[in-house]
Amino acid sequence: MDKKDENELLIKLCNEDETAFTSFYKMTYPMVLTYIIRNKGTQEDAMDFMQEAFIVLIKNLRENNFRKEAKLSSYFLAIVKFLWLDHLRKLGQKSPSKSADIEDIPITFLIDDDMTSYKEEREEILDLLENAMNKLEKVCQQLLMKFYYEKKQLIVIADELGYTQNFVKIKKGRCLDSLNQLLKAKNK
Amino acid sequence: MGNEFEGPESNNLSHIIFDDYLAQNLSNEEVILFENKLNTDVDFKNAYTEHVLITNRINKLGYNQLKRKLKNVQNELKLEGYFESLQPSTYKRINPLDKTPRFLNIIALAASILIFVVVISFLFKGQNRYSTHKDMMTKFYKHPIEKIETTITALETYGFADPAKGRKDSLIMALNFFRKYEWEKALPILTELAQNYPNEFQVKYFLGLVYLNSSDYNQSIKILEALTTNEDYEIKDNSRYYLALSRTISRSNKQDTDRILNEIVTDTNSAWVEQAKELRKLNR
Repeated sequence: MDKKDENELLIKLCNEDETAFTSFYKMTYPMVLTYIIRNKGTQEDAMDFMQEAFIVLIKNLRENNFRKEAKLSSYFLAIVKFLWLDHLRKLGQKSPSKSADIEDIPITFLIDDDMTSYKEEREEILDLLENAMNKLEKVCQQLLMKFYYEKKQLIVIADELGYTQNFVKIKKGRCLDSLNQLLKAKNK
Repeated sequence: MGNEFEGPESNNLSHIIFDDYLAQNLSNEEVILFENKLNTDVDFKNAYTEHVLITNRINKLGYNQLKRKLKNVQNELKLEGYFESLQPSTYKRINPLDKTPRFLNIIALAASILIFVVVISFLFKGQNRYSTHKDMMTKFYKHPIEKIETTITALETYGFADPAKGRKDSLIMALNFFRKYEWEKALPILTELAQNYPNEFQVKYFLGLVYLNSSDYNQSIKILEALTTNEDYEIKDNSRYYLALSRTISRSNKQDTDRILNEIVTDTNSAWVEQAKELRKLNR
């Protein structure tokens, strides 16, 4: 895959395009499976860690932590490797020996507290939030998700939604107010 | 920027300042002003804390939804048979038997196959079935959060128990457990309610879903089947879909399941047309 194709794939992954997810999955899974199996894991582990690594990848791509000097697939494998070693460490197992086909890749990537704590938020709270979000007008849903989840800049969001930047700036506050009101009404 | 903290419109604009502060877009001087305000103005601090909380949760909600999308991609690949097609060649290179004499390889391989068959037979009813149930439920079950909310809201006014006496409505309690996927806690309450109020179809519907989620398909089939002729269209539509799902997972009564799925697919009002098409493929 050349750099141009890789850049296109990267944009699609950031936009959560499911076709891009599938093709990237197929591109990387065989190597992930080999690595995990060689290092005391199972096929189930490989599938679970594909998911975890995907989430870290998307977050890091959005926060520009991927410097594009490495191949995207190598970067992804480095994330899997890091997550798997961390998992084994927590289980108190010895770290796996260096594997022959996946070299050490000198890439740094971010797995911050946010990434582990996203799993810990109570399901019930997120269900309520999702329910309230669904009651907001469509433009509010898009705006809040694009800004606070996809971490896009206001100027980009304004362009994507077809508004001026100023409008989007003010609208964001109104949408947050509406969301807060809906949540407070639920809690009464 | 100082004015934006002080003016009467500060509530409308505060989210901009909060976001700029969090994104480190403020100048050094602005950061000092902001932090002074945080330390001296309780209302401002509370508003900031609330802002951080809700925006973090929006972020976490996004990741939850992403996780669901990824799970769907994985399920699609499973249905395609992608994972099975990969296994043999992937493991070949890491087989420790590679360095042993050929006849030992054959013996070891035969022994591995034998152990594999024994283990698989042993696990077949437990582990394997659970994995199928989990995969199927991830793809085809939709947690009815909206329905739970509206039922609870309605019950707050006209519940089974008298709120004036300070008693908690037991269906609300059951639905609160249901909402949190705590099937084992919801089950006894719903069972008792279904016995005491045999005509309450809402109770039966949720009870059917609890059985389905607990892999007790005989019970879910029995209860949901009785609801497929219900006068309430939503209950009828949901019940026939989950009846078909229960039967597809438990591989029972294929012919009648196919009939129900066809009925859903041709019903333009049904909320489950696409899912029924997918299920129909699996049922055949």
